[in-house]
Amino acid sequence: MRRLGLPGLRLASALLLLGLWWAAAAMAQDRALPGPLAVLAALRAELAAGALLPALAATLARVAAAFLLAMALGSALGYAMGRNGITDAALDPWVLLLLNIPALVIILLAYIWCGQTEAAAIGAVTLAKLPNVVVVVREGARALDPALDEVATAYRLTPWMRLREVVLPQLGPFLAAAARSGLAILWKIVLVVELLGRPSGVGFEMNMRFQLFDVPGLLAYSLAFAAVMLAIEGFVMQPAERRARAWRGAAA
Amino acid sequence: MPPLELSIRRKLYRRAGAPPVEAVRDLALSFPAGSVTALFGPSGCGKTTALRILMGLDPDFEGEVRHRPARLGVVFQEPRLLPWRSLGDNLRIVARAAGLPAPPVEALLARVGLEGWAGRYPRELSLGMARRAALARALAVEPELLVLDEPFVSLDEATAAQLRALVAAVLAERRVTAVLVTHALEDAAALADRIALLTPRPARLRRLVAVPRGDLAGLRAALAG
Repeated sequence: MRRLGLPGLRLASALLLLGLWWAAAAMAQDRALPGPLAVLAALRAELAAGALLPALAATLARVAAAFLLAMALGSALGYAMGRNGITDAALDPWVLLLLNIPALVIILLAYIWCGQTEAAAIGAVTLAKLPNVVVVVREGARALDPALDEVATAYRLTPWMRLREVVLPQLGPFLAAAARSGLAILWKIVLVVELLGRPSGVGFEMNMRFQLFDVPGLLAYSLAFAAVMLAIEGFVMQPAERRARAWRGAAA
Repeated sequence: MPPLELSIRRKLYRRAGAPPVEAVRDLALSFPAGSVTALFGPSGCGKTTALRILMGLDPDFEGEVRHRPARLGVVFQEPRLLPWRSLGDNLRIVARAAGLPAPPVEALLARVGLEGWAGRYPRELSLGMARRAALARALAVEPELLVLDEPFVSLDEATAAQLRALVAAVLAERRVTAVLVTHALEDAAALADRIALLTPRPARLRRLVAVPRGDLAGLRAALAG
């Protein structure tokens, strides 16, 4: 095991999962459990038919829009609530309520009240994600160092400089935590939104495959999108978080 | 410009479920241009409270501060450098906030004995070095008022002596109006030419003594007399 190293161990674990899947499919010989090769063939067929990439793009666009909206609104609200007791007391019941309403209910109500529109879909996902961002950023705002706040006041930093130089570096780890946990949940909610009421996207395609009992197609779409999200996590979110924390390791 | 004036009729600290604590009462001081005033008194008497009011960090008091200068250089008890910024950036940021052009970072750091440290981060510094860096930051704004809040506390004697000598030299060079908070008579004598002797809490002005800087014996005699 030691000779493998951690990356080797991860690879071995992934290969074991693949092997188990292959063996289970081979033993079951059932349409409900296709093997990896059948899913790969379905993936290639969807790609060749020109259906996969537009679906991925549509879902990714919804994820991006809802993510940016939830992060922007949630950060602003969380900061205001963490810094101001009156704002916190006024908005806390709303946040608690949203935290405890299932995302599915928010989606259904959004479609009932606003119709099955793009705005309703993105709004519902944003609203489902919003309280989580608020709660995390509020904790960050509560943990801001008042001593550094006094430095900003004594040296008369402008509001923009105060935000950039004093507040955001301290909120950085909280924003990163909210972003990473948020993205992981958010894309799954987007699939449900698409499944229930959008005419495009990975969720819509998965619903179609479900209706046709096309399990290889269903798995092909879900695995393709999971791969995209893993790539975003690995190549965008983690490096951004490392950059935000770089100063902590700056000591010689 | 008329001198900075501090007038605190009363400063209360209010706590839920407990009677308010009166930290300062009837404290009035003016700070002539170029003077170095030490607020001297026992620990916990309200010196730092008065200083925070003077700096504009605590607006919740009865009284007023008149003619507070625009450019304030502060050395807090804890160095309070921005830990995610290099020392050079710490100096540049406050200078930019003061509307000044890029400060001579290397020269300022060299002046406090930190030559070549502009690219290093605060966590790489000892407490004594961080205090010197905080002094360099205070000088980067070309302060009209320099505020020093117990700058030698928690330092070993040798480091405190070095820093005391450095602050004395800087004050002599710059001829800047300065206010120092200390509970050590040696520090007050070494740096200040006016000593505001405060009572135990609530802080009130017991006496204002003017003595030549560095005259510890004279200060002792003046306070005893």
